Amino acid sequence: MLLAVMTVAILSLAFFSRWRLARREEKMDKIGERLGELIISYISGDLSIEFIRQVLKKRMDYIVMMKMIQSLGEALEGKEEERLQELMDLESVRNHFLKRLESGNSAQQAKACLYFSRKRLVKERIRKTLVSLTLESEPLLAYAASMAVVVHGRVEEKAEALRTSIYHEGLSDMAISDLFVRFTKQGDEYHQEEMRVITELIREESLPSKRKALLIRILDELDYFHSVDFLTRFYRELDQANASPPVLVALIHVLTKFGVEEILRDVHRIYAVSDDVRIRETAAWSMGFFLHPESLPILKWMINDQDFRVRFQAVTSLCNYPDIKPEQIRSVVIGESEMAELIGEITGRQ
Amino acid sequence: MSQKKILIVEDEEMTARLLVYRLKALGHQVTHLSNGIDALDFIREHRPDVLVLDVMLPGMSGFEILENLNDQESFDLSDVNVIMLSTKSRPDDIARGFNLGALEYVPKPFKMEEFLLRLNRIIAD
Amino acid sequence: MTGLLIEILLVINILVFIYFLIVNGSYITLIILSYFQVRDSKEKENIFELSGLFGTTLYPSASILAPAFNEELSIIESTRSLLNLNFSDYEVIVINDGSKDRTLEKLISHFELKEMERHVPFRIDTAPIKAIYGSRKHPNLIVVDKENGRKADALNAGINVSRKDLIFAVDSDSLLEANVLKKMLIAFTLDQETIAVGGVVRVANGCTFRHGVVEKVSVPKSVIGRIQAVEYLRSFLFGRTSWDYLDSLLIISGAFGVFDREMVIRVGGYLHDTVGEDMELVVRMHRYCRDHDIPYKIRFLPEPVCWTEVPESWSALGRQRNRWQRGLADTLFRHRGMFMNPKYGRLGFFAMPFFLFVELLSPIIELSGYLFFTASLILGIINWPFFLLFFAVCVLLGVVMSMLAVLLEELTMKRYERVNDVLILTLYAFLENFGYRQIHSWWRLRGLIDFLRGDKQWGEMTRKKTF
Repeated sequence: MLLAVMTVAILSLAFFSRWRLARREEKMDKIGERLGELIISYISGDLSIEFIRQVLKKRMDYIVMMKMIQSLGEALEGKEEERLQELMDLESVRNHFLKRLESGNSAQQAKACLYFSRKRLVKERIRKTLVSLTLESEPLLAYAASMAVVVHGRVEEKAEALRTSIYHEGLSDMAISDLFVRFTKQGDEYHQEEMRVITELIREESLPSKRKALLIRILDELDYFHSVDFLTRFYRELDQANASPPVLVALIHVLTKFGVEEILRDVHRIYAVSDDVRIRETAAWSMGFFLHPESLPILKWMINDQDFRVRFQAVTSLCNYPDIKPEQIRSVVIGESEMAELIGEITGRQ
Repeated sequence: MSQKKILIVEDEEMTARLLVYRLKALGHQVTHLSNGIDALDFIREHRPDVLVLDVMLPGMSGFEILENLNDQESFDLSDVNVIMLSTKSRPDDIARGFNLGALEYVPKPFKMEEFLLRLNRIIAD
Repeated sequence: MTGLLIEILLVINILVFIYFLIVNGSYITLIILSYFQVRDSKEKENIFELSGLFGTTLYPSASILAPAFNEELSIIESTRSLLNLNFSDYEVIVINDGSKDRTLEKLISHFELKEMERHVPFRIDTAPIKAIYGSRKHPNLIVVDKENGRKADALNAGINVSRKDLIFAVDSDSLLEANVLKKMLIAFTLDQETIAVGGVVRVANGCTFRHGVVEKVSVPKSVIGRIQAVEYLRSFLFGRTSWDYLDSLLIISGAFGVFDREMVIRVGGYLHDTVGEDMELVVRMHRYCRDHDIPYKIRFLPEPVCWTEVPESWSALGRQRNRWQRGLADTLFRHRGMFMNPKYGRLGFFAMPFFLFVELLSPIIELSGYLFFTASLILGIINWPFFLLFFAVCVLLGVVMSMLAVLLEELTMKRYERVNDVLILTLYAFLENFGYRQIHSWWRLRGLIDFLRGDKQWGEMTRKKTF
């Protein structure tokens, strides 16, 4: 009997909340739809900011609005983008996120941090809160807070936030690279400051090698060609015997892309015969980039490598040489039909 | 200015809505699609005067749509004025767009005024 | 003598009752856990969308592997839907697993395929590949024509052909939502130790599709379809999200899972001689990583959705469930070493026992419970009022559980838009306890018996409807 009553109670409760939720979502959908229209008319100059301010006084779905503003902000510049900024600066919007920033709920705080990272200016007090949130252990919050600090912080705060995140084990490479991309967008066209921060981090002894490799690759992704001198020096000073494979792979890769031909000597002598598959593969790739005549015999020898990826890369690099005819490539390890397939794939791809 | 049939192929919803809003305000007949395959079918069937084309699209990229139209003998791409609008705007992307028959290549982020100016120039020609 | 018999029956009855309490208690715990997990992952997704992370170039690349066997009717539509996904760096590998109909011909003519050279390193052994086709029109489509093996064999061939970071196994008769890949990759982007991610599979019967994209979601028309819709909700949203919460996910549906390709190759790929290759692979990955002290995460996300067609006939459904049961039994048997083994932590102490006692052995206990109760009643050990009360408690708990599943899913995910649909599902959540539940137990019992007899057949006709 009791159980039956409980069942009915649970079910009616569930039904009730379902009904309430459905109504709320319906309302939110409508607001979202209308908000979209309003934002579009507003940034096209057909509505005044005053009008929007009036509308926003009512309860609004600010997260939906943030998403709309963000996607538009990525596509637009000029007058329209400025209007979007004005929208972000509205008092009601700011207050909404300010409350969330101080809420203590990490998901809400993370959203608020992302809001502040999109704003043009933030107050001193908020900046300090943002800086303190970069130390949080929850990865998404730490990421979002660092993002905001990278935009609004002082030079030393930016550097410290980046340093914290690169040591944060919960953050993925993608998140970290995203932070650095944003960091670069803030600086001037020479990126002296940004480069100093990154290079100092690379030099830190205690930084795990995977993260070091990531930073080296980030230099390439950001097109910091002027980091060539630093990288070359860093490479020369590297203790070859004890260097970790990911760091070496990243260095060979980036130095090759930046055209530092002096690395080719070590590629021939050391990396082409490394114990590590990834290093051999990168070495083969590097030779296919410089196309030096001295690399030819080494590549021809590498197509007999025990690992498929190295063989594949060696054949690909050989095919890059203008005077090598793909049909002439022979290997002891690879059978004729396999070689035909390899070459077919490589030349078909080019 | 005369009314034109314009097709906007853009998968980012808000950007597409904004474009539709502005072009409709100018008195054009505007259709919006967010998917490459749908877009290709639509272009073949309805032959819009102007095609505003994003590169990164679900289904089929903007370049692939143009390649497909170029390959088709019964279809003359020169009847359709193509404006590319994309974040993919490295020199080789732009060159590829022009080679495939685009008349304009507007890199994102873009200024709305400038985009409309280029569009009007195409329509006027 | 009769006194002893009565004693024994009494003890059994009590044991059945305790078992029943434990099972339902753990189900309710799972439901509560899953509620938190779903809420949490929705928040994360929200933050993710606000961040710039969807825009980074460092995303892993993915190969979608779609094995096809005699699917000339649906192959074009399903392949097209796969080519339609909203993601930058991915390729679709359709593996024609020695179809006897015109599956390959249809693909060749529709996508203008040409045979191409592509070297395939056989890092996992498979049946020979006859040819590989590519298309100029769709550069990210590859069709592999191979000799017939099993589904596992086709998937392994796809893994060999792939050159991307991740592999994404799908059934070629399931339809994916366009943003599915991006959503799955949230898990890989948030945490780099992730090696596998599963998503929700839902019943496609009754929904309408256009260009392989869901246009309108509604409940299936038939009784059998509706019951399965409830079952899928329960098992995916509550079963799997809550196991994810406990970091002990043991199953990723073969119709819908993303895996780190290197890791799959390291553990040896899909297994040929089991009917439950999808679950087996996940358990083996768990085991491998724990044995080798590799930090890893196997995740389940409640948001990315794949729609699949479920059997509409009782006999096909019976065979399918029989096969699932055999697959489960086989996997648990193969990895029995993990059972109660401290090396495997929660996996060994919670997940494995749960799957053994609650999922695998429940038909025996449930059906024998019915028998003993009836016997006790006839022998007068228990009286009618108690029997009725117990029966009512059983049924009510079952009903509450299924209905909560439906309602809670609607609270959190809300895919069915019409309130009518939700009412129908709730009704069926109630009805399935009378009759269907018992039939289901019977099928699973048969599956268990078949497993013990060493039957490894897939069962005809149902081959493509696999999970």
